[in-house]
Amino acid sequence: MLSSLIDDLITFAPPLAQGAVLTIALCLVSSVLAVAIGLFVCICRMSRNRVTSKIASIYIDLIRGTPLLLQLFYIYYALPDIGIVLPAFIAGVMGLSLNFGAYLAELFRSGIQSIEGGQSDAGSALGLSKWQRMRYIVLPQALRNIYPALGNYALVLIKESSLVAVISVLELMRAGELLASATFEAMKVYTIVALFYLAISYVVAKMFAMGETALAVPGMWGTAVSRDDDRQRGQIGAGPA
Amino acid sequence: MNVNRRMKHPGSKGVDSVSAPTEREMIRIVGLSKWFGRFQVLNDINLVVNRGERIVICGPSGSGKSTLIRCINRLEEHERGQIFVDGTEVKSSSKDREIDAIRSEIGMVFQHFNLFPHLSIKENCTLALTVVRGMSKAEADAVAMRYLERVRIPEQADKYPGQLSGGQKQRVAIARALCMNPKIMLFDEPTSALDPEMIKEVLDVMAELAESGMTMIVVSHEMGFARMVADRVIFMDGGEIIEQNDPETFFNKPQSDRTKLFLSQILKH
Repeated sequence: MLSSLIDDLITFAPPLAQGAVLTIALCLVSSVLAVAIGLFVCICRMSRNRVTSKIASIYIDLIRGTPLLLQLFYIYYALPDIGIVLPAFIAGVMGLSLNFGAYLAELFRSGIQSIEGGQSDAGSALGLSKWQRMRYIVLPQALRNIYPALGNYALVLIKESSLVAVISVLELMRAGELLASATFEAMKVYTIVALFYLAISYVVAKMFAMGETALAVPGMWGTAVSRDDDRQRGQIGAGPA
Repeated sequence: MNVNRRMKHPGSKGVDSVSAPTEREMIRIVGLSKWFGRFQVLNDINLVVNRGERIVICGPSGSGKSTLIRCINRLEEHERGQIFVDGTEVKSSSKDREIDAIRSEIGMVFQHFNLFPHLSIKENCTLALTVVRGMSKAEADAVAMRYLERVRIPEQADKYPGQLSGGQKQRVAIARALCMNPKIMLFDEPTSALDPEMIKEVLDVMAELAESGMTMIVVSHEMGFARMVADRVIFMDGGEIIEQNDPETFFNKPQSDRTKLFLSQILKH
């Protein structure tokens, strides 16, 4: 049983691994772009300029009101009708980053609004400019507040990226599909595909957990106080409690 | 507290004329009115604060005390009247940069401390020094430690606000404001959020600061503090200054009925 599983891995893993690499690339590029889009849309959404704010909320409503699958079809199959032809990978990146950008914009807004006005007041009273208050007071705290949710979105992105299989990007899901139909070994192939997704997600989840520890501030989250006191007494190391 | 009571200050009789600020004046407020929507929070406030003067403002909640001092460093914008801080007018039309410059000269201490929870105690004190004043980290650290010693908590420098008691937090907040070497210190109910046993440690620090000649405006119901430290006590109600006098007269011979009622209510227990 075990040896046959290892045999299957040796047979099927290499072609799937290429797909996994493309999935990772897709997610990396999309997540960086999604954060940039999210920040930009969030700033527009929170702008005092009504037109800017309205445009941002229309964007958010459009994206969140339609399925990602439809958005991908639109970019890849509909845009060519008006002369915009994009390579599949680019279309996939665009779809994912535009989609997640809208969700992240709202996540960032919730993070910024979670910081009470007194924090900004204290910064103002010390003479910090609006930008300095954002940079040194509001954003560092907002990031900590949204961090667990940010990790969630990262994991969702990894799995949603499988949707770009339908626009012929040869990522992990598409690679599995092709291999399964060529070999008639659907059970084995999709199990290995699942293992790849699990492995990628596990690593990302671990990275976020490490980041959370690095960002932890004694006394800012309930459990961190005692952890810090323990650390000062030299009882435990700096690892997560 | 070891505080010598000062003689009644010559500038303590309110403002009659709308003349230009003089050298002796630190703050001049002329005909100040402010509305929150339709609700008028401040109604024609006139007030002159001289250099080195210590003022305590009291009054029932919603009387506009906090709003008044928040107008001085423009945490609130006013709709009518004029405010001069050390000769510079604080206007609604002032550029952000001008306002930031004025604010950096005015220290403020808040009811709920408003320390930055993600920064250590020392970093709370050095943030504005490095970012606004452009000091090097080493210089800023030295300044921070000097003031943390002055409020008697240098040993907490590397802790975070979440690890401190309320009284300690408020002393850090005072040190943070003092680091900027302000000309004026504003206190917005600095002891109202504290447990009773922590009030004294904060008032002691404030009394020492008053001794050093700092210009101070303190919104507070600590009447013992007002008696000991204030040059002038101001009573506000309904967005107006009802009465102002030296503490002796204010507490022993209050003039208006509203002041008498207020004092009887807060001094009863």
